[in-house]
Amino acid sequence: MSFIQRCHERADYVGAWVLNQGIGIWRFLQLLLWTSRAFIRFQWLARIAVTNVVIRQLYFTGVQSLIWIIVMALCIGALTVYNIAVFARSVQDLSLIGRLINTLLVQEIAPVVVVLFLLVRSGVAVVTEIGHMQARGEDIFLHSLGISLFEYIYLPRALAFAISGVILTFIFVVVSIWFGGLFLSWMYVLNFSEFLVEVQRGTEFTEVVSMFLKGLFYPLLSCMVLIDQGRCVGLDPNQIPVRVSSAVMGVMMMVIILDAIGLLL
Amino acid sequence: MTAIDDELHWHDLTLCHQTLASGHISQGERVRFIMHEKLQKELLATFFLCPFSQYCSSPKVWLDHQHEHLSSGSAEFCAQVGCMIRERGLLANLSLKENLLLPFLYANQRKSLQQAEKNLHQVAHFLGIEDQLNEKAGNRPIYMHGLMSLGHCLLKKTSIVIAQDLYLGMQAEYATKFHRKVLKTLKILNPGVLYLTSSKSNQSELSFDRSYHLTCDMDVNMERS
Repeated sequence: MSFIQRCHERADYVGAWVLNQGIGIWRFLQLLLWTSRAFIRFQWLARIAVTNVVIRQLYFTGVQSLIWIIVMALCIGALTVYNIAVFARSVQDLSLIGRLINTLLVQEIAPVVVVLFLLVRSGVAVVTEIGHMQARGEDIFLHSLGISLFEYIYLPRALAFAISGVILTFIFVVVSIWFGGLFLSWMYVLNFSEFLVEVQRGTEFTEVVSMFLKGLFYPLLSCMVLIDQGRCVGLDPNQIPVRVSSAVMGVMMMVIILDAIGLLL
Repeated sequence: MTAIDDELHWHDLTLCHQTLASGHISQGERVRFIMHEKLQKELLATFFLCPFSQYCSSPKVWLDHQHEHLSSGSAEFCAQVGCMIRERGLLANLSLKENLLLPFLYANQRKSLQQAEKNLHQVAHFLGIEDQLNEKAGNRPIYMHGLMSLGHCLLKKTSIVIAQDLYLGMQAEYATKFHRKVLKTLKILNPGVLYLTSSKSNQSELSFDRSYHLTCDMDVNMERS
């Protein structure tokens, strides 16, 4: 094969890859647009069928995850807070405790752990469910009943992820800080009230807002990526595992990129 | 003013690089399309997925309903056109009652919901599922999917029904039972029927006014038999 032919092949490959990515982004934006439109119209609030699905999804995604999030917050929170306090004492600067807890635990660890947990626990189910619906032609069935998939299938899942995400992140932060503080005082590293004073001192309003925004948008956008991949299954059920793995990878990459962008901004 | 019958129209539909010439189905008429299952799905998508999919570039399917022009895929269109897709008559995570009432619970029109709830037991009795209404649907045989589709048509009182190979894969005794219920329903509603099938032999045992054969080969055109 000549050099020119090899160049042509590579150009073809790169061109096809760029086009595929472009189509994927366009499809994702369309999904986002139609789902946002369904949300903004607020007709879903008056539809009993949709509100039932929203409540069910909130229960599966949020309520059933609560115990796991608390367990993770106890373990991760205690470890993080303990290590931060020990480090702060070793450099003899206790003001670092509050600053580091807010920068690391509140802003970074909590939203990322919650979104990864939701991804593993509910995200895979979302892709599989929507993929099966596609493969079995249930989308046409629902449309034939005059039911919009954006309102009945996608919106409830996105809402459940967003609402559960923000609440679970908040719970994660509160539990981990409180338990971390108790753990420190139990280990005679720092008095509990002293610890709380340091945390309060190091807390800034913008950091709390950032935690809530991340807790809201990371799960929401993750859910949209999962739905998008589920919709790509088409009529071939063999595509389901392929789409599940690409959805999981997609969400992880998206969270890392968003986090990096957030850091730069 | 006399009521005008509903008519389902299509205009030069392109399926598998072939054009299905413009035509229509009136109430009481029975038309059969013989085509590959893939084409059936494409056609169903054209009827119901518009305007949400790539199948719908321009409004090529519509329903003339009481001097109104209802575009395919719209909520109004779906309310008037019944759809009986083979093995797609219910959602597994809902009860049979919720399945039957689903379009009305979604539409959020109190009057039609009340009417549907009023008619529900009568329809369930007709379908023979009165005792199972509160059971979770789960995995059900083709027969039950067919019954639920029939139930939707009866509750919506549709003027046009689009059905896809309903009897395929149904056990003989259930097929006979189902056929009786279908005939009764057609007698009650007198709808226009568009029957999609992949088989030339008439398994449905319905009499058709017109029959179209659409093949996917490039050299064979649509034949009107």
